[in-house]
Amino acid sequence: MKSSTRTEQVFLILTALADQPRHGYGIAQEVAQLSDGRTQLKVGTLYGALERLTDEGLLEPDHDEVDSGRLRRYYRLTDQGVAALAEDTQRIAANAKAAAQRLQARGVRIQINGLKHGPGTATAGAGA
Amino acid sequence: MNTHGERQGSNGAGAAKPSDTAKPTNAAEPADAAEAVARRYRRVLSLLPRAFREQRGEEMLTTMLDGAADAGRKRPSFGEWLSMLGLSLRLRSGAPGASPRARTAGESLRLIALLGLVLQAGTPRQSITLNGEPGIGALLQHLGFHSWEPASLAACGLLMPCLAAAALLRGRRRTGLLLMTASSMLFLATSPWVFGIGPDARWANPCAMLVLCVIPLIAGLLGFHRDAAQVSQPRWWSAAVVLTGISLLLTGDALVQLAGHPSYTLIQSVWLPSRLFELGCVGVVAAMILRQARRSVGGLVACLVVAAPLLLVLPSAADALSINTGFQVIRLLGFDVIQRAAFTPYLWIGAYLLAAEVLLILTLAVRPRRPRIAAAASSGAS
Repeated sequence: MKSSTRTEQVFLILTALADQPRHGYGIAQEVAQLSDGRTQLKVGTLYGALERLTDEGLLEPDHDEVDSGRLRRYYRLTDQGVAALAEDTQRIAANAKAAAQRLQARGVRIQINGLKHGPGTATAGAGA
Repeated sequence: MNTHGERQGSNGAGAAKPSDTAKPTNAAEPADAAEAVARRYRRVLSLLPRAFREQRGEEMLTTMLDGAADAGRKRPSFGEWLSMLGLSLRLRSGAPGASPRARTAGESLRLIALLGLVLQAGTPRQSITLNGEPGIGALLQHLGFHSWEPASLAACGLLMPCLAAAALLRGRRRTGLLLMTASSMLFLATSPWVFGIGPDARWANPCAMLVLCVIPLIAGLLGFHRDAAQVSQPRWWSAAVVLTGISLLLTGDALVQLAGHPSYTLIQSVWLPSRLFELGCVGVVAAMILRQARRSVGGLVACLVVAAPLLLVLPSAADALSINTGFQVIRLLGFDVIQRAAFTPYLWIGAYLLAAEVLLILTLAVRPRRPRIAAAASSGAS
């Protein structure tokens, strides 16, 4: 999948797995937290995405755990997945920086990547 | 079940006090409740194809039960049912994780959708120029337009199938599906003129309208889902599809104009170039679809599907040769009978249906299961 065609959901799933392997529910929780609750992944959507990303070589199963008779499969990013996430992060950060600079020209200052945060101005994260 | 075992054990002890027997019963209630919740969620999972369920079902169940426990839900929500239904449909039409048969089904659906768009673009032109029926010209007049005026660009709506196909082939799934929906609706609305049967007989050909509007649309929606294999053709291929649509529209309209010309021989003078041009354009589209299908299991099937409409165009070219060069031998070989049949849109529709059925049969012939995925790197228990 090209970087430009990866959705925000996919970006959030890759981000959720950037620090450590997680199981399905862990990924869904992390995605909700990363997006401030805006993205609530349903199981059908989550496993469709996991299957697709595994198929594309961006993710792979890490290990299985059985807790009280319930199977939890953990997933981790592959090297290709790390590269894809890095590429997406750079693209989004560059877009956010460009937007912030234009807003700055209109007198609205946003603190992104070292841009100064002016008094009485809006504040936002880069999202990446 | 453990609960049953505990009860048996208690009863077997004989000397147990009432309070002793009550304890496992109370403990059993939450276990029963949890099992009931799990049973309900298993029912949701039963929507999925069996092969996928066997591989992913247990971990998906755990994920759903974790979510249900956190949210305090005792049964699956409507959203969870809907989400699973969506995944089920995507898996059955070739999403990653699907069986070889489902992947072939996805390829077949995408081909049926693309060919349906070609049919939508070609049928009005076929009807207009070859049946001598009013077609687009009458539709434009009905709408208050006159052909060749700039307003006749309203007919560009008929380009929608080509634009939709171009978008889908470029990997612009949403745009393509939107255009495809609009194209199908437009075709449904204009079909009385396309078939030359007038507005009063709007529903006289429900089968034809169904085939031309509903089947490609459903095939497109099912085949070009978000988890479908990525389709992306070079830009010039998409441009070729759009040019084909324009050519089909213009040559069709030109011949309608010429049909009223006092000198009928003028029609004959443009007959051969327009037929050959048409043949070339359809060939480009066919080559594009074949290129798309080359990497797929259904490559042979795609050849069959593409061959059907092409075979219907060949008699048209043969007819042009017979008119212009006097090769009456072509008529002797029976091409004139074929071309008369080919000049009706119904034969195209029949060929399309036949092709779809061939695709369906060959899809069913593909083995249904996929090899099991490799187990995770390591397993543990806690």
